[in-house]
Amino acid sequence: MDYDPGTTQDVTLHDGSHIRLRKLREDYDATDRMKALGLLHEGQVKQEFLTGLIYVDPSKKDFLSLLQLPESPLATIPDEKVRPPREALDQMMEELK
Amino acid sequence: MSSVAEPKAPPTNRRGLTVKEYGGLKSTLCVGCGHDVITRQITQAFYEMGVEPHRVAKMSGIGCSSKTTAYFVDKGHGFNAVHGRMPSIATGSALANPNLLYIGVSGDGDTASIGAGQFVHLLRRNLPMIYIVENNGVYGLTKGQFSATADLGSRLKTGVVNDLPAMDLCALAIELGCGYVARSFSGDMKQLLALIKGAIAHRGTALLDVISPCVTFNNH
Repeated sequence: MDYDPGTTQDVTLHDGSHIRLRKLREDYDATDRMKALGLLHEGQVKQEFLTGLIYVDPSKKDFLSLLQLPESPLATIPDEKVRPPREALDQMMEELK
Repeated sequence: MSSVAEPKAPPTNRRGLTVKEYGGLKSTLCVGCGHDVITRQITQAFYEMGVEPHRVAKMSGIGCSSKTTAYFVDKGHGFNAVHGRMPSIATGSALANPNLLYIGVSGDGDTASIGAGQFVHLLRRNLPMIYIVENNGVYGLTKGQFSATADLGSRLKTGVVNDLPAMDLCALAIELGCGYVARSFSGDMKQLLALIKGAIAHRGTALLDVISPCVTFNNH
């Protein structure tokens, strides 16, 4: 199946029922969040499945960046790098006194 | 004197690998299932993008769709989680080893019904992974009961009508801040391939809701 952007395609399912697909237009702006939600809602009302890249925002920080995790897998980092030395723990205890 | 042409070597990608090296086990799904088409496009996308197979981590839950991670990139890592619990396993794995490319394949039952609680937190955390929902509106493995994405008014073979509204996974994902939200149809291979390649390149959760009607239980 290959249908043009901005057009619809009816698909007959195995039980004889139909679904309608609507491919996003080529000039569609996938960075517009409100427009994306509006079109999805419109599709629900019209009983159409909107297809294509509906929304994109590459600027958002992913979970691993948010947590400031190191690039090396945690499992491969040696104990001396992940375990604070005795002095650091003693200092912490002093500060909590 | 006649000469015999040497067999042509199959094309390779930038890693020097053929598309066959991105394959997996033979599918055991129903003949004609759209999920197998999605598997082929995942395989092709990984090949074309030159992803190293040993850097792939395939995550899944339970359902027809969740079986499909066995059908591609058999040199990658894999974890088949409890029903609807794939997001937490994927989160733990990604925290432990951020150097792998995570791809989750789930179904609408696994994602939108029993797994809805985990799915929404995966989205709001923006875990770097490709999350493909092979969406057919039914629980295929347990004989076709409605899932939470079944259209209002859909009718089962037994005559039962779905009286509940469908969840729109794409709208839900956008609401929760997902940075790559796409929908396709299993029969539209060209569009599907382009969207999977885009998802591989995206840093963050990439949700692909792929409509893939069930050939056995027919619902949508």
